[in-house]
Amino acid sequence: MTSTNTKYHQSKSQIANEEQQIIAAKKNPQRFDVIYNKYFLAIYKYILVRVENKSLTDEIVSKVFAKALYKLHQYKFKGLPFSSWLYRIAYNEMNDAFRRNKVKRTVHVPIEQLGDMMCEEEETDTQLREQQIKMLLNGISELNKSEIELLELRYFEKRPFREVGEILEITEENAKVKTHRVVKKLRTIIEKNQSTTHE
Amino acid sequence: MNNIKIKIKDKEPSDESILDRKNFSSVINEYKTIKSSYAKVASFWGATIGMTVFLAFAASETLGTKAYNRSQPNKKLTESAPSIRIEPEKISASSAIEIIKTEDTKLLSSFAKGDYKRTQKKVSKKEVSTMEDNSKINIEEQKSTVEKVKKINVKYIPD
Repeated sequence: MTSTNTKYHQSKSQIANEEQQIIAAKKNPQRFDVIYNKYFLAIYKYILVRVENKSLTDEIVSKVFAKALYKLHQYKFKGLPFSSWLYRIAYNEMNDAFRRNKVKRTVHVPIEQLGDMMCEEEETDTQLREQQIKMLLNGISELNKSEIELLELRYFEKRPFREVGEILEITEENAKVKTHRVVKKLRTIIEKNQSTTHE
Repeated sequence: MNNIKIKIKDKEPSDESILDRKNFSSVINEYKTIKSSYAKVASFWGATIGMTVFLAFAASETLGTKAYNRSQPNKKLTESAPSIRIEPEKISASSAIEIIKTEDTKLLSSFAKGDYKRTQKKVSKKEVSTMEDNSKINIEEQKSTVEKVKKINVKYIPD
């Protein structure tokens, strides 16, 4: 069972307060600094782990917030934290930067999170576990870009499906279905790899 | 092969080192740049679309008129009403006055009856041909009158 990360969740009053801040920023762009200070760290980390280059990250982050400010009048409050919208802009800006600069995107796989993806029925020794992790990483590398993005958002960053959907511009249900398919595909890849190793 | 490096997650950079890079003024500057560039693009496209619409309208107007005229080569845009030609050397002043008087009386009587507008609105081919026939008859009458006047003149003016 995948537990969701509490840092992506906000209470109703926090979200309502944020809505007021957005309304104020729509009237005066200088008031956007409250939102900027609140989400700078999260957005910066989100981009840095994928880009692995601080100067390029600086450039993308400033573009993300500037674009968010420019498009703020188009933002529709859906009861989700504003960060979901920022992550979506960051995701698009990052993909643009990868295309422009011909940079390879990095996926950081947290070892502790891999356990969630494996069916741990009994205690396994370290050697077997290392082998399992290796196979899992090989399997992940055979997935395509959008499939890896789904795994990353859901399993490695532990975001709720609603937020995953919001970032990838798909519905919550679609995010669930797609993630389920990705996991199924990953299992098939790993089984196929295992059978070829045993032969 | 997708352009992705897969790595085991290592130590994250410290929050302090990231927060040092915070710069809201750069965001505002970037925002201003985006705003001005979008405004330039919008004005460019506005002008281009406006000009295209204008040119298309002007071209359709010109081509439309030309095509209409080409489709009706025999039609004259302004058709003058059949007129009575009176050759001055063949008519004396008194008879000319008589002719004008009779024409005026005809016109005035038709105006008085309120026929003028009706005749203008409903002019069928038949009526046009009748009008032309009438004008021919009038010309014939005038010619005969001129001949008579000439004869009379010959009789009464001594050499």
